[in-house]
Amino acid sequence: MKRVTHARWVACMVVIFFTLSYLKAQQFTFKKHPLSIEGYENAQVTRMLESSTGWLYLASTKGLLQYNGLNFNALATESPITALYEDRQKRLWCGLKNGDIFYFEKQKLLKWVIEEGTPKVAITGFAEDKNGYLWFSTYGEGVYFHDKKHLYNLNTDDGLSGNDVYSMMADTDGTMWLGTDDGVSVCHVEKDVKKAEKWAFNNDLPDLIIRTLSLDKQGNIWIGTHDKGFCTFDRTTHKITHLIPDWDLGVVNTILILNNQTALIGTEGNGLLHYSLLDGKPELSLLSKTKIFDLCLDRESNLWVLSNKNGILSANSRIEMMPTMLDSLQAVAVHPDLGTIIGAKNGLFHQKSNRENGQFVRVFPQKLNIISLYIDAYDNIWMGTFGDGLYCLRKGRLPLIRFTEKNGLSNGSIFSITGNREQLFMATLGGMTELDLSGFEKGNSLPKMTVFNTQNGLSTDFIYKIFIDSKKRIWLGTDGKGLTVGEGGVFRHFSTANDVPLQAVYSITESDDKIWFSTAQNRLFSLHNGVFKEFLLPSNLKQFKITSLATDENGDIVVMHAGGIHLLNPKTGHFQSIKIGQGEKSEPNLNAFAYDDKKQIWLINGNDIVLYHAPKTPVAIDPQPILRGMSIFMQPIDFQIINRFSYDKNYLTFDYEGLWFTDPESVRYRYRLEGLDRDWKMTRERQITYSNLPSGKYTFRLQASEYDNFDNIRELTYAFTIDKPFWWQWWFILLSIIGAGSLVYFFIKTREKRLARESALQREKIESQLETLKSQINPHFLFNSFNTLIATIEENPKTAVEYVEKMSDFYRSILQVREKNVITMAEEAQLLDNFIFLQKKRYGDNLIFETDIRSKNDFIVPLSLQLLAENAIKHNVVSKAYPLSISVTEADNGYWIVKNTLRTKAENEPGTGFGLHSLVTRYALLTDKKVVIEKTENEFIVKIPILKNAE
Amino acid sequence: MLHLSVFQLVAQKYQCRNGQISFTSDAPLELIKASSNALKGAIEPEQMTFAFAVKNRTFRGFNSPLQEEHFNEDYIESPKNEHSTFTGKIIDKVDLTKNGKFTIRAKGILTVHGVAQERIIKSEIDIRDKKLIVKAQFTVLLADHNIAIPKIVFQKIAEEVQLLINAEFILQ
Repeated sequence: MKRVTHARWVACMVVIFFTLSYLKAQQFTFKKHPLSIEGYENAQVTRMLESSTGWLYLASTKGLLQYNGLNFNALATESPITALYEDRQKRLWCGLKNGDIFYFEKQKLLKWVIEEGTPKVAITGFAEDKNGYLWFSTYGEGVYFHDKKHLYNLNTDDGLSGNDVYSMMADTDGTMWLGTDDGVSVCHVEKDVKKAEKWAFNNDLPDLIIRTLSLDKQGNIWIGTHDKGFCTFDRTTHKITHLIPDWDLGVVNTILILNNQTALIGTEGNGLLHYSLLDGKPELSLLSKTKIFDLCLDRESNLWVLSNKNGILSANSRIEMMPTMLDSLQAVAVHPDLGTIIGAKNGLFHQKSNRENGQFVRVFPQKLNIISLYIDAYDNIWMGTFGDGLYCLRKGRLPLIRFTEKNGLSNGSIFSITGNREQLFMATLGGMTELDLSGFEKGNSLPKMTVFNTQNGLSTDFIYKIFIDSKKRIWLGTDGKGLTVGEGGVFRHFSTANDVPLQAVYSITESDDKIWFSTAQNRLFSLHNGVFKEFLLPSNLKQFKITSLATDENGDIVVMHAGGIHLLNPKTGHFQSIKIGQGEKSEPNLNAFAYDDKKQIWLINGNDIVLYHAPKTPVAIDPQPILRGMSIFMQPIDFQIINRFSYDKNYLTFDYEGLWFTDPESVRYRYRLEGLDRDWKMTRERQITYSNLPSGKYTFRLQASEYDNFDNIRELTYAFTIDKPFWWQWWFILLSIIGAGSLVYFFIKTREKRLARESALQREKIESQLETLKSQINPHFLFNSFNTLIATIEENPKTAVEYVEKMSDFYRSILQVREKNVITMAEEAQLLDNFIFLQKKRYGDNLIFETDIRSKNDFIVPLSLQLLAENAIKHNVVSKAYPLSISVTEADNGYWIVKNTLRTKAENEPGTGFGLHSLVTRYALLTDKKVVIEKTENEFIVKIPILKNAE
Repeated sequence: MLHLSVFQLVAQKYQCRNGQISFTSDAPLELIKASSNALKGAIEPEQMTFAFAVKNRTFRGFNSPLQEEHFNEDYIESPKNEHSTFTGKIIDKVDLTKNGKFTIRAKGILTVHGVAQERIIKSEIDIRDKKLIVKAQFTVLLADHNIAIPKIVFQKIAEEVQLLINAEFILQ
């Protein structure tokens, strides 16, 4: 894609061509848009479309052009583009001369590929029907439509009037109208059945070769033919109206209806015909001997003309120019018979007839210096002169009737005239004169005149402007004394407005129930119920002096000045500029304008008369801001899809545009990145870069204006987010919190568990100690021990001493170990030995005890073995017949094995079973290995885990 | 009149008796392919008209005999709709009596399963020494021709079927 960066308007070009047959005055001021792209110098631009986004798209013989009024973006195609269309999904379609079809997507032209293939002849048009099917017409293969599954064709075999289709148009019902070499055909698809038929009214057409078809706002069809000009078809009355029967301008290529007032007819070789729908007059052929390819009206109401000689032209369609070839124009009016009349320094002029070169000629020979003109309700022309009194041309006919101070006129210099059916009011340099118009109309050649001046209530005798509002109040713009209003013969004076001295008031109008006036100091005020409001003039208006104020049909204030006009919306205060001509050369010409019977405004600009039409339909009044592109670190991105960026994608560039074809170079911008910028920033650049944006939510706001006021203006917004880095993401933070929480929870839980275990162990230990003590101090044990001791003392005192020593050792050991969780096996074995010694003294050989322990340094719960031995003795018979054998051995699998023979006493000694249970519990708290208790027929076995460490 | 009928007799047309036509149904669960060598056709170079027909029962190469039976009895309903046809006119302005390779678009009525649908089918044509070879590829949407598929079988038969034609015509 080529982009031309320094394209410039070539200076405004007023294109004025005359042909001999259709000729009058109104002309557009065309501006030429040179196709300043390399390689496109010889390209012809033949089709144009304003897209819904606001861009202008131009179809050329070399490719598609996107245009903003200043620069072109070009997308080359193999074959000339012959048709352009934007569908309801806002997709742009291009039909090529070679039959290919392309669509525009993401700034690229993509070929439309369908199974059926595309035509081999030129595409002449596109349209959509009510089913949403895309239709396209061809020059040679009839017409096609695509129902989103298949492509279908309609040609002469299906009933079409010809296969060469010049033009296709969809009407409001979705029926396709086709212009062919043999009349019009209408086609549609109903319930999946295609229908094509020759139009019933073909025989009423002036010519059967139909070049163009277009629909106007009323639903009527405009038909342009090959030889016989153009006609309209009224779809309700079915009447064909052939508008210019003696047509001699050749082939009609295109028709555009402007403002419901004018039809513009583009011809194959004879330029552009301006046809008034109001009076049916063919007025002028612009651009003679020129081929007009296409006409387009943009949303700003600019008229675009594509022609072979002048390329791309645009003009403001609301403004028509009429060069007068006269000097010193001072007043204008529109007379029903004489047409536009001009009051000049040397007489009154009018345009003689349409067919005489549109030349302005004198209405009468007298060279009056006419400074004001008024046409009253009876078609009398009233002329105010500078120092020579008032003249009247009754019904526009001679002789002239003159009124001077002698007849009662306040002064011979009349600056402004207005009136109603009864009276005529004049602003003069001697105050205001009221003339009895109804008396004059009844035949009184010397009607009564009443003078108002400083003698009877005015503040000054010098009056510039007189204006009668809708409430019949008389408003006077004075020289030096401000504004005066008269109601019921009483005058009120406003010499200041909001403390601003008004001095000279030049022009007055009414709109929105307010009075609007301008002053010699170039200030503009509104007045409503005694309250003044001043309107600050935009920079492009300040440089000119306001000469006149008028109100157009839409209620907009038309502010006239040498450079053209500004439209002021009374409600929003919005100004819009319409440039006219060259501007600067002319002198300020106060109140040189007039309304015609259609409420159009005619004004004088230099030596030209300008006709201003208020737009009948809403038009864009300020630039359309659009985001052209966006990039991150200079890499373009699709901003229509993406609006979220990671934290490190924070170097953003916005390319934007304020599309304003009326005056593209005047566009200025104001932007603000909400979330970063506190204030709006003004610029004329069309690009802005933000680097190093911190993460957060932003909205880019852009406004475009043709001057420095951005109030009530359209705005473009693009909201986006720069994500926080992942470590600031909510999910990451949440996960981290959960993670940390889990860790703390886990820690607390384990600690709790450990503490619980420890306390349980402690409790078990205490209970065990208590039990052990209880059992050891058990009266049985003591009783038995003492009995043994008594016997031993008698038999063998030495042994008795040993016995007591052992007993003492045993009890000491118990006291020593009871606090500990674990003791070594050696200690426990010693303890057990003492216990067994004591028991042996009682049971002798009936108690057999064996030990075989290797891991003496490993650990054991204190008193485990003693407990088991004691239990064995307590619960089993120990006798000669049934000796009790207790053994302590060590197994390879990390257990000590305490085994005793089993011969349970018939009467068991009371036992709580607590000892064994306590042992099991204490081991469970110390190790994962379990204490194993086995009971066979003859043996009771307890396996105690060997503890490898003291923990 | 006699003269005219003699002329019509003389007017030659391309004819084909054993053209190849195959279809492919590429469904998620099963790929079905079948073809027939019994495509008959005629192309009239003067009028640019054409006619193609194939007997539905001549399709072979199904994955199973049961499938072939389903094709004939349930879907195409061969007893009722003996032939599938495509007749119409060539849109493009080419001279079919001269040697050369063309891409043409044939506009006509495609009748499958007894349901006629207007279609445009793009074809490659290669003419050499009174022989004309037509190669074309196009899709048929089953719904367009009221070919209903039971829900269960849906995974096995594609909604659109690809067709391939390769036929040699001789000017006679």
